[in-house]
Amino acid sequence: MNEHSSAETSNLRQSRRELWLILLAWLGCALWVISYCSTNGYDLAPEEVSTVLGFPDWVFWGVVTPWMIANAFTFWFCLRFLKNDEDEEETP
Amino acid sequence: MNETTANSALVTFAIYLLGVFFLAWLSSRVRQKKEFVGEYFLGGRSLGLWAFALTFAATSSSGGSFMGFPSLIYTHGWVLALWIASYMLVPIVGMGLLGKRVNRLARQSGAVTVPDLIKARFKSETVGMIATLLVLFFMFFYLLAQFKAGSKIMTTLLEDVAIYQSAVNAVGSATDGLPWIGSAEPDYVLCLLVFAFSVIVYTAFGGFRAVVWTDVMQGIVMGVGVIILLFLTLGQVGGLKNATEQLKEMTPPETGTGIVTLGQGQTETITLPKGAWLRLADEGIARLAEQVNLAKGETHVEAKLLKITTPAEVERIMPTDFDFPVTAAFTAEQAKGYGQGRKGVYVSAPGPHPEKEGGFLNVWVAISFFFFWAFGSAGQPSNMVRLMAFKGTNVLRNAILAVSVYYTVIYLLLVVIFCCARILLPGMEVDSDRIMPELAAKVTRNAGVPWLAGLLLAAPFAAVMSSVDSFLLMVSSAVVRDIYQNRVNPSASEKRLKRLSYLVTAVVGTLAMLAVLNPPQYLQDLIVFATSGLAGCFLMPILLGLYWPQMTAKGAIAGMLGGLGCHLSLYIAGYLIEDKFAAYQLLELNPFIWSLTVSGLLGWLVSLGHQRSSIFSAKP
Repeated sequence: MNEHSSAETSNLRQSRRELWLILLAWLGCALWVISYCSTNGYDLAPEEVSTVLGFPDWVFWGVVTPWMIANAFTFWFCLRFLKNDEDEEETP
Repeated sequence: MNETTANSALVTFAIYLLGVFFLAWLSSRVRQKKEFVGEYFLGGRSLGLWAFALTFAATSSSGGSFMGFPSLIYTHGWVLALWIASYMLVPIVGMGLLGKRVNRLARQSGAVTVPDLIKARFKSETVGMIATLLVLFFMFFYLLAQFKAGSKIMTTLLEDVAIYQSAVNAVGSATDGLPWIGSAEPDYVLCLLVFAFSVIVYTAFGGFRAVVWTDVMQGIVMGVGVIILLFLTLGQVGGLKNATEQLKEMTPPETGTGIVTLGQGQTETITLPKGAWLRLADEGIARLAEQVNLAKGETHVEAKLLKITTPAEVERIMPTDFDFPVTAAFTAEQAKGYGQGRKGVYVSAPGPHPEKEGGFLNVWVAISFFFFWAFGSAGQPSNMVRLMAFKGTNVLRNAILAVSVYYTVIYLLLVVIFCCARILLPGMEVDSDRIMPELAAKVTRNAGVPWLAGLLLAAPFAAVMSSVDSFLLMVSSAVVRDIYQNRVNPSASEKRLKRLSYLVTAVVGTLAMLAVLNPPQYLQDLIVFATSGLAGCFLMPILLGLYWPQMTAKGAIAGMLGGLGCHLSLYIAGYLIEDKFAAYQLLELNPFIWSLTVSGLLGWLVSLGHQRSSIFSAKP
C-alpha cells in the first residue's frame, strides 16, 4: 500500500467515525424531542401548562434544553472530534 | 404602517441595494486577472470562516424564514418550536455530514459544480449529465418561486410609501392592455422588475464572490434584525412569562361572514379597508377580512369577517373610528378544524388549525419535519457548492460552530418573538403574511424609534435575495460549465467563457422573471417540490459515493433516477387522489423520506459486489 492510499484509508476511516457520530447525535435528539414532546406537549388544558423561564414547560424540556445540548455537542464535536485529513495542509 | 415607518423602509431598501451593487463591483475588481470559471462560480475556493458560515446560513434562510415562518408561529403558537426543532442539528448535519469529503474531492478533481463533482467521483460522463439535467429541472422551479416571493415581500413592505404608489400607478397605465403583463397587478410588476433587475445585475456582474459577500451582509442584517426585534417585543409584552400566561387563555378566532351595516346612507361611495375593526351586534368585535365598498346610499353589504373570541381581547380592542356609525352581524362558518373554543391550544401541541381535525402538527408530521430539515439541508446542491469552496477543515470546524449559534438566535428567537406578537397584534389572521412588517412597525413606533423599522424590514429582503442569487448562479453554472465547457467546447477561451457566463446569468434571470410576471398557482408548493426533489435525488448517491469505495456509476444513476421516480410518483399520486399539486403522504410521512430511502437502496443494491475503487482520483 503506497503512502497516498494509506492516507486515504485512514482519512476514510476517520470520516466514517465522524459520520456515524453525527447520525447518532441526530437519532438521540430525535428520540428525545419527539418522545418528550409527544408525551408531555399534546392536548393540554391551560392549567396543565406551567412555564420555565417563560417557555411552556414541554417546550423548555422538549426543545430548548436538547437544542442547548445539541449546541454543546456540536462544540465538542468540532473542537475535539472533527480531525483534519492526514495529508491536509494546515490553513489558518 | 404609518408614513414614517414606510419611508424608513424605502430609505433602508435604497441603502441596502447600493451596498449590494458596491459589493458586486468590488468582487469583479478582485476577480480580474484570475482564472475565470473557478473564480466566477466558486470564488477561487478561498472562503474564510465568516464568509463560509454566513453564506451557508443566509442561503438556507429564504423568504420563508421571515414571512411564512412568522405567519405560522402567529397562527399556530408554541407548537412551531417542535416543528422547527431539527434546526438544532442542521449545522452539524448539513455541513458536517459531507463537508470535509466534498471539499477534498472538489479540490483534488478541480470540480466547480455539483455535477462536476459527481462526474469526477464516478468517472462517468453519463452520471454528470444526469446530475446537470436534474439541477436544471429542479432549480428553475425554485428560482421562479423565489422571484415571486421577493416581489411579494417588496409589495408588502412598500405599499404605504407615497412615491411608490405613484410609481405603481404609472406602471399600471403603461402596462394596461399589454398581452401577458397587462393582466398582472401593477404593484407586483413594478416590484418584480426592480427585484429581478437588482439580483440579475449583481449576480451576473459579481459572480460567486459577490453572492457570498452580499450573503455575509444579508446574514448580519438578519441576525441584528431578529435580536433588536426580540428586545423590543419582549419589553412591550411584559416579558416572556407574561406573554405565555396570556396565550394560555386565548382561543382561536372564528371565521365567517357578516352583514356590515352603516348607520345612515352616505352621499358618496364608501370604502371600508381590510383589517378595520367593527363592533358586532352582540357586543363582540370582528375584523374585516376583505375590503368592502358601499355604493352611494347603500347601507348594507355582506363581507368576510374574523371574530375575536378571547374575552380579554374583546374588551381591549376598540372598533375603528369612522366618521359614521358602522356595526356588523356575524355568522360563523361551520367549525371543522381543531381548537375552536378551546383554551390552551396556543401553548400546546398539535396547535390550532381551522381545517385539519388533527390540528397543525400531529406526531407523524413532527417526525417527518425533524428528518426533513436536517437531511434536506444536507442534500441541497446550493449548500454542497458552498462546501466545495471553503479553505480547509479548520474553516469548516469554526463555521459549523458559528452557524449553530446563528441558527439558535434566528429560529428559536423567531418563535419567541411571534408568539408574543399574538398579544400585541390580535386578529392578524386576516393577513398573517404581513405579521413581520406589522410587528416591526408596531414595536418601533411604541418604542419611539420608528426609523428603526427600516432595518428590521430589510431582513426579509436579505433572506430572499441571498437565496435567489445562489440559485441563479447554480443554473448558470450548469449551463456554462457542465454543458458548454465540458461537452460543447472544452477548449473555449477565458474571454468567451466570461461573456457566456454574464449572458447566461442574465438570460436565465430574465426568463425566470418573465415566467413569473403572471405567476402560476401553487408556487409555494413548487418550493417544497424542488427542495425535497433535489435532496431526494442527490443526497444518497453523493453520501454513498464519498464514504463507500464500492459505489459505482451505475449505482449513482440508479440512486438519482430512483429518487426522482419515487418523488414524481408520489406527486402524481397526490394529484390523482387529492386533485391538487401536492405529494401523497404515504403513512403521513414527508415524500422526501421515501425518495431518500428508494434512492439509497437502489444505489446500494446496484453497486453491491463491485470492486473497491479510489474515491479521490479523477479529474472532471
